[in-house]
Amino acid sequence: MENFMWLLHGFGVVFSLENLGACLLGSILGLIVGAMPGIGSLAGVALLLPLTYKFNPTTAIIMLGALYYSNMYGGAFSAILLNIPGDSPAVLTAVDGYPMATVKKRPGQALMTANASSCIGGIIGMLILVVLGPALAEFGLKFGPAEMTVLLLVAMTSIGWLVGGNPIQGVLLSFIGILVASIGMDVQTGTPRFNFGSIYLMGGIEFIPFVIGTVGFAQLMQLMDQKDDKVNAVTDKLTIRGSMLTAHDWKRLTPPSVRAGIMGTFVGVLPGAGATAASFLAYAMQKGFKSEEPLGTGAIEGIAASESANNAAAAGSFAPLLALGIPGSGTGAVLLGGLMMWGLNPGPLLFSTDPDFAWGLIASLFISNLVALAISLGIIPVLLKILKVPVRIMIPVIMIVCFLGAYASTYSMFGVVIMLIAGVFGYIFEKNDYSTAPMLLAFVLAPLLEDNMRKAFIATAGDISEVFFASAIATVLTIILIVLCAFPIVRTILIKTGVYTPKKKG
Amino acid sequence: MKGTSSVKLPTQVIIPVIGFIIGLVYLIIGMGDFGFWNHSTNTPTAGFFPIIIAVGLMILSVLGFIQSFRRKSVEYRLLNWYVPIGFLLFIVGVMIIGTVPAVIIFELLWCKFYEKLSWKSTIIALIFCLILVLPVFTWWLQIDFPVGLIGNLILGY
Repeated sequence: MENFMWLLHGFGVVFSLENLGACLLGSILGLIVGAMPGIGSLAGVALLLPLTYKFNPTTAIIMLGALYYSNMYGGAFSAILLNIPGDSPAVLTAVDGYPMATVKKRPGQALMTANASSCIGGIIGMLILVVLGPALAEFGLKFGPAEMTVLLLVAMTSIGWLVGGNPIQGVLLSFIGILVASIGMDVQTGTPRFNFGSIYLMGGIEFIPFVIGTVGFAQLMQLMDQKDDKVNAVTDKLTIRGSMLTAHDWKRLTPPSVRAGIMGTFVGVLPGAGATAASFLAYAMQKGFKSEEPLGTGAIEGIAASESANNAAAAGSFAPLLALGIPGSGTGAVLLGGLMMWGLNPGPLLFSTDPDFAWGLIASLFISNLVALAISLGIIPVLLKILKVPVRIMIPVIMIVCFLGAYASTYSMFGVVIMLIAGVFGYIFEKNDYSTAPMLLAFVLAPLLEDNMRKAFIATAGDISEVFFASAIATVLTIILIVLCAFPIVRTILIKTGVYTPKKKG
Repeated sequence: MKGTSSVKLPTQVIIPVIGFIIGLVYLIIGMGDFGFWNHSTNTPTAGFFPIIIAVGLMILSVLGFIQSFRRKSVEYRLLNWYVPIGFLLFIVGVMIIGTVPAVIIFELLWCKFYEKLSWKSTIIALIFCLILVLPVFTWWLQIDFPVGLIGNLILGY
């Protein structure tokens, strides 16, 4: 109950003209960027991060939260109307959304189903966040440097392995991210290190140019492949009145939305699992329940499960981010980088030392959810025009956005050059199936990991067993870490010896 | 068709090799300049953490290198590289003629002469970019963008 009182306090913080304006702006921009095929929430949040410079930290983060959240809504639009998911969590929305829009000739209702179930999933996720966030933070107070070290190692390893197909590639890029982050000043002694004699590198690699390059610019290079693609857009005229759902539709979408919302939240809490895994699991779970039409043929239940789960996971991922300072995804890492840029250090003490910020942010997610829903409905008549902006126009415009963002964060052309280099490497990595999300996460968490690891080793005078088995929590986390490390090796051995045969896709 | 030429490169092998080299460089600099453990104070040094990660990276790079032979070379299309090449030329333009003129020329060249878009689309894209540069970033966020060598000469800096 106390948490809900704090939530009311959070609403009090958010209800200022500046915060509501930032929330509205973030929601509109997030929706538009999320709707554009091929950009995605990670690149969208990274590209729009510099727009928060003008605000105070709380307002800036409220805008970022709104951006991230409304991005999840936007991803469904192109999935339903163009059969091109705006982002990976919307892949399964397209499976039922596009047939519902084209075969069943109900594009407006497909969009409305996605919006309504996103809203339901989001609210469930946020209510669980209200209860879970402070509880997780209280648990986090038991964490000393040793526990934090092992926890961060678990987070980095699990994300490295869960995002993308190959664990070795994921962890390899995580390590590269850590080494890039160690350029500049040593966190404890202030000694310059690994700057290779360059004065530009003495302050380290700035987060924003690095992330804009790795995600935004790399995505731009990939977009060149799609610039001449023809899209099969829905041709029906869309109106708000024509998009309304019947009572029967509501009856069909509510149960899967609630189920997927609860499940999606807990998937979102796990590091690395994220919105994509949540929507896939929810869709698989829906197959076990009764649907009026078979999934994949334009079933409302399919859209509802996928959309509700991915929005709930987006809300759920804020629990470890705020309470432990550990993001659950690449987008979470960008948000964490934004928080740190504003001098806020999420972690167990955040709820007690800065309740205005923590609860203001959670309250703003509720408002963003409703604002995104309202705007989603409002833009239905012009949605096809937004979605049909040719990629050929978007590419040079986003190039300028990349330049502006990279320069504005560093006031130097050096930042722009870093962005360009990071972009080219990001593109090459993605081309070789190396997901860059673990690298970003490692880049953000590296200073925290190093600080805790060194403190843990100082406290134990270098006794490694005292670090990894310092307490019951550390021991449990170490066991999880060992299991995570051993799993792919054991799996390979089992496959090679013929004990286990993996199921083939398709 | 423009930009359709492509080349196959064994980057799946090159990435772990580069990873190994990065790890080795960090290991050598870390051990040489900072050391690993300060025995007099019994505490880790500034090189402690990067050295551990560097060694881990080298091990993973070897594993990645072994794995890479099972994968095919990746095909790179010239088309995708127009983005960094165009951006590099844009940076040079910013440093010589300044941000606003470089944005105008870049958008015109890209949209009208490379993509052959209509004047209407070109002007819309250009206006959108100029709104971002001037009202949003320069006036609202108060970012002073480079005026370039020519701008500096005119302004007498």
